[in-house]
Amino acid sequence: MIALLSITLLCTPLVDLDPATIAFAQSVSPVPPPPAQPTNAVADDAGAARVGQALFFDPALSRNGDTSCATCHDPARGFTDGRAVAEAVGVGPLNTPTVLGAAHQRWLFWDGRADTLWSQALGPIENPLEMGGARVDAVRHVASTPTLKALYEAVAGPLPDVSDIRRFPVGGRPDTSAWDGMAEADRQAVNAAFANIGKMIAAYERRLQPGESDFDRWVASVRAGERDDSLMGGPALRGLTLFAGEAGCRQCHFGPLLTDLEFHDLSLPPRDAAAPLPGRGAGYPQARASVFRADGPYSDAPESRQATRAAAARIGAEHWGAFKTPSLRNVARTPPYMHAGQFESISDVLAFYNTLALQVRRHHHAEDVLKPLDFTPAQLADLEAFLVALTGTPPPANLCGPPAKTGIQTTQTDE
Amino acid sequence: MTRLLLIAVLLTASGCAPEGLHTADGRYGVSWRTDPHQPVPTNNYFDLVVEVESQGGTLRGHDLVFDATMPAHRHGMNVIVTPEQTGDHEWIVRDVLLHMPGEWVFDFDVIDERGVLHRARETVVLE
Repeated sequence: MIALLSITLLCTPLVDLDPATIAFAQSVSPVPPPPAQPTNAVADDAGAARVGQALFFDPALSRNGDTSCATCHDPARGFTDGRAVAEAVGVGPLNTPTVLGAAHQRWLFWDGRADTLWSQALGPIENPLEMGGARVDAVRHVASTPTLKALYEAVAGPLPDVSDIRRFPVGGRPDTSAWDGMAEADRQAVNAAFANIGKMIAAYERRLQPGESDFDRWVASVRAGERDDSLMGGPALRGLTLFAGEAGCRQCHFGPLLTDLEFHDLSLPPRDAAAPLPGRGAGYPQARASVFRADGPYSDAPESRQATRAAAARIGAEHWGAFKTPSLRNVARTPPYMHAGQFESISDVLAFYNTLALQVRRHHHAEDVLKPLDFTPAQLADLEAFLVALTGTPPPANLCGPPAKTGIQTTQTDE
Repeated sequence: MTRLLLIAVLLTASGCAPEGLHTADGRYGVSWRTDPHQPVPTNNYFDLVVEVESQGGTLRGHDLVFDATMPAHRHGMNVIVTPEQTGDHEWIVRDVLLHMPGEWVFDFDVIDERGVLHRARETVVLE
């Protein structure tokens, strides 16, 4: 009798939800597998993912030998770093986005300066403020590490012989005299191998999906016809109602990752008022200039629709100062917030939206999407509770460290 | 009037134009449909088939330009689309992307043989 009463109480709705709110919830859960990536032929190759996982945690790709992708994309912090802006070999101007769910993104980086996950993976390796490395050194590292070389070649075929330092100089990357002095054929061989490194890292990153959250479990209960509000709690459900309705969050935060995957100018206060960031307005030209773009010479499907769509983006005046809408999956695990880490906490972010008093209009072409929420503290607390309910289970432990430390067997060991 | 507007919005969100869409000067009739037929999707690429009818009959030397904007947000699409003529009266607009829910304004600009623009406009509301 008591058990029956308990079950009845569990299934009693805590909050009245209108059909539109429930429909919205069902439209954003669960997170599906990431979309196909035709420009990366090894995107779903297990061997490629193994190499990529090793490289993701490998500091040897950096100039100082001390910085890896995981330095900023720390699995223990939801694959972010907990800092306002990235600190690696140098200090960058932007907040570190999570890698969880990155394979769903249409554009990568806050400003969309990469149009595929694999081309994104290559950027930080050579960015002087991030890992500060060089593509020639990266290829040489893989070629001179027996385990990596064997795994790489099993997936992508022979690596170029880059052992001749005179032909393949240390520090060789574009915009260096070392790179400029290389033969064109050698540069292309290095580019092809470097692109493969990016594709293998991307193959690993595709496996880093946002885990199931309380919200997802609640949606599943709704779908099953056994709605269990205890999975979310009253505040989070009231927050869902606001999110999907009055607050207007869903204008930009929708879809399984709760992002439109596009770019907006919120007129956020710049971190450095003397050097405001151009955002998407500069990011897209960078994406088009990259030899590693989706329709470029190192793409596995340069004529695919993924590639032609990336080539047809439009940049208008409203894109200056616009940054990508972040996913809200696991948002409670990834402070600080906004593209330059302007806000320490979720409550700070909601306070911004509540009044918009901190907005700084940089030009008169900015879009006009936001209106002050003017919510009560209780409503803001409900919204925050909903956002916390989007926290998913972390990826499996064997994806949260280098393969050698997580039990993944390689064909041979370096030890 | 409200009922007529509601019907128009329902029709367009469902993936086709309401009957009677014309350029402002009444010279050209414009109809469109999603291809394959589906409700106009929010933030998913889709193709539009546009048919233009002329009182004069022929559309030789004519061109079509399509654009979509969100005036309330002061922005347009984040993609460039180029209609491709596929028949005497028909164009296809590939990879249209309307990246936000809300009120979008579709502009179908028929450019006649003298280079004069004739615009048909309608509003589409996306959920």
